[in-house]
Amino acid sequence: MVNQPLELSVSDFLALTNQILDNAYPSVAVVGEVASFKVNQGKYVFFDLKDERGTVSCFMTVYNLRQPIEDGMRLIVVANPKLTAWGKFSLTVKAYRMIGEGDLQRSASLLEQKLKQEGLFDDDRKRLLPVMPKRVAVISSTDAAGYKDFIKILNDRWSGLEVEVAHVQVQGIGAADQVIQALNYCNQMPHEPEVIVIIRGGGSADDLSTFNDELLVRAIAASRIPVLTGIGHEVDTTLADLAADVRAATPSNAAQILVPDKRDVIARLSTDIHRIRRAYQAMIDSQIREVGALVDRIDSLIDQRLQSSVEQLKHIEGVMRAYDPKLVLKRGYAIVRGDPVVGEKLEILREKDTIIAEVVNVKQR
Amino acid sequence: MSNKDESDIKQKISQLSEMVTWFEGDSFQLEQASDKFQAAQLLAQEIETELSKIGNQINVIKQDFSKQ
Repeated sequence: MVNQPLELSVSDFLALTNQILDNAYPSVAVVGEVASFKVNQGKYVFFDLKDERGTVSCFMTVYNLRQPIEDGMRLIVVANPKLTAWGKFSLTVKAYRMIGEGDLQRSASLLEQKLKQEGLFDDDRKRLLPVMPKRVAVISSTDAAGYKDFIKILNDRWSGLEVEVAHVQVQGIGAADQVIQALNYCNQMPHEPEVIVIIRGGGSADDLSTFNDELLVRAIAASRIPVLTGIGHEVDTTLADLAADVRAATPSNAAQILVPDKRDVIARLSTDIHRIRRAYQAMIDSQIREVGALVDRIDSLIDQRLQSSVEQLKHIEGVMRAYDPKLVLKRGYAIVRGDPVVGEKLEILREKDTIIAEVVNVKQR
Repeated sequence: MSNKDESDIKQKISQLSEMVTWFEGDSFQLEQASDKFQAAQLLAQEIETELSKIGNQINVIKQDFSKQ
């Protein structure tokens, strides 16, 4: 019996082929160099991926164009192979990443220029982080050394924090989307954090390229809640760092920026108490001086009064002395006692003797 | 640890700072100083105790962010 060829309509043939491709390659990663890169209508991205022996067409939406692509860049694309309605074979790209540090840097630089022009990195967009925050959200991989460093320093420096940790993948394809989702989640928490910290330890340029993803950078810039980043080592600066409100050099540095050191705060407590004690003592001393001055003033007033009284007494004494009858007698005057009636006797007192005299005549003047 | 406890540290530090300002400022009144001084000492002690004793509460969110 001869096998009859399968007879299909064109549409059915395309559908069947796509079904077979789907089963064989639900997802395929292809490495190649970009050629003929173009964006149509601001929505659709087309390019070829080639190597020495072949070329394959690629297609994706602008939504998936997360890092700028140029001809000549080497990419690894994660895609679904498809036969289009026009019979053209193409890879529908779901995600991609650059291969090679040069291309990664070039792509990041192109995106940086674009976002800078939009003002995404402007200083006046930066917000201050809360001092001594109570509630903090952390986006990181809980398995990563950077996260562990961050938590260690955080616990060492401060107490009483409520830390909500969003565990995400921090490198590789899909990592940027996870961080974006976590950012959105943290921004919508009912009991919202005061600051969101994005943590990722050191890594290669490829590892850190997650944080040069356009959508992620925009999500950081758009975050309602201030964002602190601690990504990579001191020398690494990603676009996520530039969009964040505050950039820490490392995950450990992020913890140092986020919270004060409780030892410093405790030391400051005793300084505060010392200042209070000193101010209190100074005020007491001042009051004592004021009271002393008042007492001195009162003493002085009493002295003045006494002096014045003494003067008055002396004056009175002088007057009294002037009226002393003995002094009058001394000056040669006499005091006459008795009634000036004829036949009566009068006593005439002189300084040294008394004369008894009889009244013989009284003449009226 | 509750939110009340957390806010207490920050509030207490702020209260202590206000007390320092009061003692060093024009509002100072000797009649109130003794009580305020005792309160400041107590506050400083409480802050130190709280900072030394309590830890941070770390909670890993259950949400799976790898799912779209």
